Amino acid sequence: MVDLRKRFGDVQALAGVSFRLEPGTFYALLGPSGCGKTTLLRLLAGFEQPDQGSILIGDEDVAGVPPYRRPVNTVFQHYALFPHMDVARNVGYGLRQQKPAPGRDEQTRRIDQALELVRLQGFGHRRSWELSGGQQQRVALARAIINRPTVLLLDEPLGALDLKLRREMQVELKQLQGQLGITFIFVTHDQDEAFSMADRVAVMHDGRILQDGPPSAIYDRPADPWVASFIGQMNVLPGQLEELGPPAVMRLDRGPVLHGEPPGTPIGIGERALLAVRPERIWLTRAGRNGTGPEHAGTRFEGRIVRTVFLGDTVEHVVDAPAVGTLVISAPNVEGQGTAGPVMGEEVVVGWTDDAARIISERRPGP
Amino acid sequence: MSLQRWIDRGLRWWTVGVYVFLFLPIVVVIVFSFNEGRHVAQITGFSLRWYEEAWNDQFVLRALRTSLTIALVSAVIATIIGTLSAIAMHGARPAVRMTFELLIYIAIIVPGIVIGISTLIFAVTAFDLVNPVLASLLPDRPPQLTLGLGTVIAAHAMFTSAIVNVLVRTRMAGMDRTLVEASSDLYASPWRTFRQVTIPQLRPAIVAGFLLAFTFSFDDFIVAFFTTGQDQTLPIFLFASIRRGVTPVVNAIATVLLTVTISSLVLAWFVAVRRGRHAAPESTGAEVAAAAEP
Ligand SMILES: Nc1ncnc2c1ncn2[C@@H]1O[C@H](COP(=O)(O)OP(=O)(O)O)[C@@H](O)[C@H]1O
Ligand SMILES: [Mg+2]
Repeated sequence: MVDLRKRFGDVQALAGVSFRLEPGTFYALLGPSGCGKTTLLRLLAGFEQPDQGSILIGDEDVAGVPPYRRPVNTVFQHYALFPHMDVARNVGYGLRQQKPAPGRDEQTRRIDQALELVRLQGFGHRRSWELSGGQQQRVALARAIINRPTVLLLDEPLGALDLKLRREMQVELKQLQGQLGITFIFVTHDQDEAFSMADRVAVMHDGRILQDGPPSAIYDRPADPWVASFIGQMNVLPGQLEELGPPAVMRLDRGPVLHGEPPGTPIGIGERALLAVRPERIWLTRAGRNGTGPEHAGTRFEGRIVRTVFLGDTVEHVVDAPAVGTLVISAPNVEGQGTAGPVMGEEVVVGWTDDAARIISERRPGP
Repeated sequence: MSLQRWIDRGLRWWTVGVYVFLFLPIVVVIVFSFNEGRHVAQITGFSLRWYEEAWNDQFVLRALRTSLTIALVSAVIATIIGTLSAIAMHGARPAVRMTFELLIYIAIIVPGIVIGISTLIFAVTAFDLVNPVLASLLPDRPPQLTLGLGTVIAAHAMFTSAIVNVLVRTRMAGMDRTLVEASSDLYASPWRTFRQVTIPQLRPAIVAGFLLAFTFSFDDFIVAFFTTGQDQTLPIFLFASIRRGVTPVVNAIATVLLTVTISSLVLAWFVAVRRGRHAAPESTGAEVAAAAEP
């Protein structure tokens, strides 16, 4: 799809979104609520028409094609199961609308097959309101995949489920997608969900896609300050670019000159930029000891722990380092750390290697 | 005892008094419809003889048949018009929709006597204009349009289609819009979506509307009184026979009328509340109760 725009009155719900998918891709649209994810799906399904831009499915421009003639099916956010039909009739609904509709036996066979795919054999005669949330979710899924659409749209399909069920469904969805080879466009505001399932993730904000790429690239090489802060935790240190490198050189507002990976987006010398470091890439040792950090570490600062939060699998320290500011550092909770590790108020040394730091342009990708 | 408690107590008894005043006559009618004797003064024993007498009275039967015909036909017409207009209003521009909403509420609150008189005047005037035309078109056997079943049915259907309209629109407002989208997403054309999703979703409201329309028409006296011409409906027959002198037959007919009306209302409520439960959370039950008020 190319440069999609959609405006509702004063609200610019989509401000120019473009992407192209290889068939069979699991594509996640990740963004906070209100950023235009649902609007984008509605344009793809055909419930709304774009103000501008075009949508191509295969080679066909689907502008003006009504939803019931698009090779696209949707799993709705609240499932939208037909309450006046049992599960089997819900699942077979799409088959019955086709012209010509498959024969009765063929329908029954495919309904059973679809129910089996979502592990709901024998639920055909239940009513949708008799099912749990997870089961309803599976019915909605079966109803959508039975038609073998070219593209399957999923609007926060797991949003209403509890955490455990959600994890299970994530695995199942991913498996199912591999099995069927259908292109999935999966909307979510949960980054773990997007990262664990998708081949490609698009981070959306205010009606735009800020970054689009494989999960690891989004996490390790955020191209935008907003993406950097939205995805996981990030220490960002403001300053000015001095050399493009590599390694790029940056002068922080607080004074020190540091190295980092150069930004992937256009930027000029002297422009405002951010130096971003993930909390888990920063090492920390007690002051006055031989550091556990690599000796060649490019950067090291002295500081004091102002807060320590025990998170189970990791321990998070907030360190006040006068040279650069406040840093969040997360360390794996290896044996003894919880009790014998550095504690609040202690003087420490922190640092990171040059490749842990990444420079991000403060300039927004063009409108 | 404080003043407040005296006031509370007084109000409570006042309320009880009001209800007794309202329902006692009805209870009396029911009780005496089963009374053996002819006189209201004494209860002499249980008997169904007044029902039997009513059942064997051809005038009663004819009135009953007239009432049932009017109620059924006007309810069918009202259901069709009310449902279709509700669907049309749903898709209309806000200005159009609000105008119609206003007109519909006016139709509901206008007193029966006004509907009766205005329908009468309208029908008579229209017939005066149309009949000469018909006579000139068909000089051999000129059809004469007169007051009768047709005018009562028209007057009833006009009023009751407004009730159906309100019920169906309430239901529509509570309907999940994504169901229609889901249907469309699954390759159903707009017409098939309408048939397979919209109508089934609206069915409880449509059925309840039909029953209410039937009830209103069946027990209506005022509108029918003005528009009926020669034909007697059951309530009008009742009114006429009371003027001839009260016999327990009247009690029996009144009890039958009451039974039909109440069962139809209860059924309407049941359909709207119980059947509507799974599809639209905000039930149409309150609407049924409200619409049954006049
Ligand atoms: N039908 C509509 N009318 C008016 N504004 C809308 C409509 N649909 C969505 N919006 C607005 O567009 C923006 C994007 O909404 P949406 O696509 O639903 O976001 P998301 O699904 O990412 O939470 C929001 O600001 C929302 O209020
Ligand atoms: Mg949404």
